[in-house]
Amino acid sequence: MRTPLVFIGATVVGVLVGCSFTTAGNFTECESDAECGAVAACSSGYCLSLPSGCRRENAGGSTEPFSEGNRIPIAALLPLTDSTGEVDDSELQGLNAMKLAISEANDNKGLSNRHFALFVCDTGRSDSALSQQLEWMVKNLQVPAVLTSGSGQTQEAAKNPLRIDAGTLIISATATSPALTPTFQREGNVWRISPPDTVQARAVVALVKADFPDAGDVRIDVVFSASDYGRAFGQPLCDGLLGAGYENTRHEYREGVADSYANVAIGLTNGIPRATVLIGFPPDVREVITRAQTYPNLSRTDGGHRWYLTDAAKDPAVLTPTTRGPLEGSLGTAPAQGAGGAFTSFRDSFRGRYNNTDPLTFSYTSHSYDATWLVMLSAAWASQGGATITGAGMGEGMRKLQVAQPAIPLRADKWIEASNNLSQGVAINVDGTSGALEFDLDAGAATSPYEVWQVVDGGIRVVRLLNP
Amino acid sequence: MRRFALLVALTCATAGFSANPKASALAKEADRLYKDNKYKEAAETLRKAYDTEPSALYLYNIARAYDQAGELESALEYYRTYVGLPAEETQPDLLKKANLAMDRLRTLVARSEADKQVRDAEKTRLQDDAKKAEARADAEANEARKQRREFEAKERDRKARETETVNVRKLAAFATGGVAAAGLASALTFSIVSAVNRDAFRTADTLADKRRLETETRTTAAVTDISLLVGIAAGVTAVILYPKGDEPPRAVNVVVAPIAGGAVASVGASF
Repeated sequence: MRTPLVFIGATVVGVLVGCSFTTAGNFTECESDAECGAVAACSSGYCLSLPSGCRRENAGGSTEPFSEGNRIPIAALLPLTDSTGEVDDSELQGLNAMKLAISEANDNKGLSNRHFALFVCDTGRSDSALSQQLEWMVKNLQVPAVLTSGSGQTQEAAKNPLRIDAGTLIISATATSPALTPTFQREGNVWRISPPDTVQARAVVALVKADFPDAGDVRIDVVFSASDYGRAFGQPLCDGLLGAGYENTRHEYREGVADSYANVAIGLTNGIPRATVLIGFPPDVREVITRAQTYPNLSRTDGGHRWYLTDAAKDPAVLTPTTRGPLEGSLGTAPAQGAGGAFTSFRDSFRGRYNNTDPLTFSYTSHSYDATWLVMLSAAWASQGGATITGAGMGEGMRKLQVAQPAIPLRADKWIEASNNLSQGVAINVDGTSGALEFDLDAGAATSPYEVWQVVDGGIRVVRLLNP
Repeated sequence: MRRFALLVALTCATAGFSANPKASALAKEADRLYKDNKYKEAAETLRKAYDTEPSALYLYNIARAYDQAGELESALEYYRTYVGLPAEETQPDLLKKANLAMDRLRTLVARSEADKQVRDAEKTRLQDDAKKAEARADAEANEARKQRREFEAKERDRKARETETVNVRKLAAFATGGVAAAGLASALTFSIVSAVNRDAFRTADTLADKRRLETETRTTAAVTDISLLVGIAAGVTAVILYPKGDEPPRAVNVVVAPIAGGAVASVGASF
């Protein structure tokens, strides 16, 4: 009687414990990203939850969802929001431009039927978040290229040891800090679509000179953030103004610190400049302008004071009921958006896809589009002979886009031609939407004209181009 | 016929020769006994009569009575005594009868002696045979006892060996039972570890963690399966090894109880 019990007991235990036979199998969770949901990616057959703030964007392509094996992952680590959660509209439109570019390529069979997958992360302007997201993308998705935004975060991404070891290509549509030039020269593969701020500083000086031809004792103060980005822009600007004969005082503020903004306003009102160049993003600009307007000598109407803004402030978000008045008529500079031969088609496509939104209203939208195209074209170069697409291969491809030939405009209908040439080892010349995309291969940055934009009737309008 | 002859002889003796009344009475008594076929009593009575009155006729009749009683030696002795008497004391016809009787008796005695010798020889032989048979029986009994002792010794040895075998098998059964319990416990433990690893695998969000946890899950699952197989094999072996007999075998009772949210709650064993 007991013997059967033993058998039964052993069998029951065996059956129950036998689930190990099932736990040991079926580890393949996915073949495509779509099987893992919007906030996860398929890598090596595993569904991996994306880091906080990241998601997978629908990037078009007739065969989507495409399999992991036919996927070329591209990461975009962007400060879509700030630390308070406020959305940065310029970044958002930049992201839209990236999605547009990728969908145009994917809708044209991608890269030999391999498709680009865009993984987007909101860094929240946090360097630590960016580093975490970057390392995750490099380690887990082996992304060969990362799109970044802003000089500080691009610098942070560029110096990441894991990124350096992997040779991941970094490209930024908006980074303009001169400090990135030595980074490019030292570590390579850190590219920018926009010229460095030293060039923009010259553009600002030219703009000031146009308004105040007689420098004399005219005082033009400069306000910038106490950051690498702010100083790398503010310092050459101060030098340029001094060189042009203007007096100036520099004022630094700490981002997000109310007293710091107030101190800047006090410094300005005490110094009584004729004009002030305010280098900052919309939140900083709003804070400084709001406090400065309480001082009559800093108003346009009473004191004849003018504000000059830069590329970072070219965003409708800078205009609030409080700031709209003081800023009305103010000028600003930004790397030109519409200087490329492909801009018109881009603008039409962008408007068509995104509720008639004009990319000219924001800064760097076309640069983002160009940056994404360049990433995909350099991937085509890196894919020669069926090779694995690596950051190093793409970096090499970045140098094959400006040969002395008729330029291929970056348009959807030109994708197959351009990518086929590159994937067959044929260098090409391209004409972007933001400019001709002629790169200074010693600095990793494209040369570009600048646009002068102006706050007019509570909006932003590009009024002319200039070549500093 | 012989009784008639004796009766005549005694009557004659009583009537013709017995002057002693006692002897005469004894003779009558003897005659009556003789007639009643009580020959030996008749002979004894006649001997008393002869003692009372030594008459040759009494001797002859004593011999006849013994002859009839079948006591051939006594009869022959009295016939011989009678024949040895002086002629004047005897009667010729009785002498003749006595001699004839003596011849007959001698033959009978001789035959009797021969028969006795034969009987004695047979008796001796039988006795010898009996002794031999007894000796043989003793030997056989001894042999039987010896064989029995040997059998019993062998039986004791066999039982001892059986007991030893039973003990060894019990020991082996418990040992393999222990291995089975250890195997099942190991399987249970590693299955839990494997399940934990599997859960961790599902929620892992890095490639390195996924790969590591896949490897760990596979490893622990393999250990689970091996432990399970070893446990089952050892359990079956333990059951097979455990001796079956009059003594009720002590079995391992495995108790399995589910718990909420889990496939296996506990496994207990009692001996």
